[in-house]
Amino acid sequence: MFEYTYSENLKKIVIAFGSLFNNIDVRHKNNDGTFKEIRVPLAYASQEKFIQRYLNPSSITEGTRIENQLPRMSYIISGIAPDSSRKRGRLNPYSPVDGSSGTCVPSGYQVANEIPININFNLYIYTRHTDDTMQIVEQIMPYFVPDHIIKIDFNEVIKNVNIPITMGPNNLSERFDGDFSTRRINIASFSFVAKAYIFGKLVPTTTYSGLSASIEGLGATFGIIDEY
Amino acid sequence: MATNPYLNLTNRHSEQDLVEDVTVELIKATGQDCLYIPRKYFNIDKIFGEDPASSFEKTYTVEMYILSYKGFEGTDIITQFGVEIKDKINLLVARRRFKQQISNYDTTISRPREGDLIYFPLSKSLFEINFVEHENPLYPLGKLYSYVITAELFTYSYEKINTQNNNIDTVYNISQDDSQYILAGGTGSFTVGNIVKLQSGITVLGEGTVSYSNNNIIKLSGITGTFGYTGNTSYIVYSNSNPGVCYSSIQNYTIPKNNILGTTAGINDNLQEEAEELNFDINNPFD
Repeated sequence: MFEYTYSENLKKIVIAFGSLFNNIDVRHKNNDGTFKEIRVPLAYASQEKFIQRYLNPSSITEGTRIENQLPRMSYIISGIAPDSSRKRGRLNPYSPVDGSSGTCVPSGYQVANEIPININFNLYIYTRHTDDTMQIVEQIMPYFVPDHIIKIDFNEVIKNVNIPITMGPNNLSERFDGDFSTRRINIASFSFVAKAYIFGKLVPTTTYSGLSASIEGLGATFGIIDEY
Repeated sequence: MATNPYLNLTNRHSEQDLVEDVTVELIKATGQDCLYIPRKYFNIDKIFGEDPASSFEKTYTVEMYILSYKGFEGTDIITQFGVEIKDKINLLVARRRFKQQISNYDTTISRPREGDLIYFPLSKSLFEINFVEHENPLYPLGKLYSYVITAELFTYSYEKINTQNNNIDTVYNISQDDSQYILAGGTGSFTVGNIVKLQSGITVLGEGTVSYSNNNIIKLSGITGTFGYTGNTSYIVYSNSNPGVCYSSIQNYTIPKNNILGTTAGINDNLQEEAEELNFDINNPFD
């Protein structure tokens, strides 16, 4: 019933969301008073297990074996839902114009109205040291008051689309109690909602030129339609 | 006196010494030589109870018996943070031997300490001590002879490791990403291990050791002095140990911050590349 369409709208939002957090640093003070700066690695959480085993150190790979290397961050889409409050009429497709040349030029495409969606993201932070968690949190939270707007070029005609990303409830989980068989674990999770869109596929508009129409009897000739 | 002084052996030093000798002998006969690596504290954060700048700089060899002989009591798991190796181990070390091998050399270490590391050479595993049980077995003949150490693999967080043992130090070394240089105005490849110099006239401005080389692209570690001019052709880059290779300028260089090391677990750079077409609101809330 449905025909194939895929414009990588969601993938672009996933990339955009992740790239917000790919420059997070943590600093450790060295013995000599200088600081060691650590770029916190970020990954999309749900990757194929065999790819992870293939690419990353595990118990079967050569070399010195450790459990993990921290700090780390990861993120994942936890839900996608239509947002009816932002929905527009579906019967009014529009033809975007391109203003980059200084004048409004039709893009040559017609786009069906977008579908507003809310995308839920979870961002996870895993550190060995509580102070590392604090450093990361302080680099993230001030940017979401409560939302941070990014702009995305979805395709060659739908550009600079504002996507507000709103921070939701957070959870700082420090598992420190219990017996000594396990170590303290600092895992923080942040939830976000991106108010995004899915755009339908682009349909080239048909251009007609040189058409004219006249209504006999009125003696009037209507203007030439160059493009439609 | 409640106990029978003729039959009760809990105060006989000769019997206690015999049991201790047997304990030591058993561990020597069936155990493994492990490396004990004490944690050197730099500045303990009294608020959060941690010391991110602590380091590991010495090793002591002592034999330990593997109590968890069936395996490491753990497996590889996938979490939202990638692969984690959840190996655990229980080890038995004789008190007398610990004192002889470690406490006598460092009087601040009177017992195995939680937070210190143990390198288990058979599997090249670096374990961190979680707990030390000092009363198991419980006072046989009135004395304690051993420690039972519960450890799990080390979760590394950029502590400095400089023990002069390559198998251990590699955890730290691999986390130190090297600076990359793209050279111009010359030909040939340096060899890994070459000491490369950046020179202006006869003045050496800086030098570093080649850790990677592919034609005009090199990575340098252990950089001293200044090594980062870009596009200036009045300098030369050369190595005494590789006289056939010389470049007249550094076209580009990057000093990467520490990403995840030796692995592709972090996709920061990939995200950066993919996101270049995106137009962000980069307002700094503090400006």
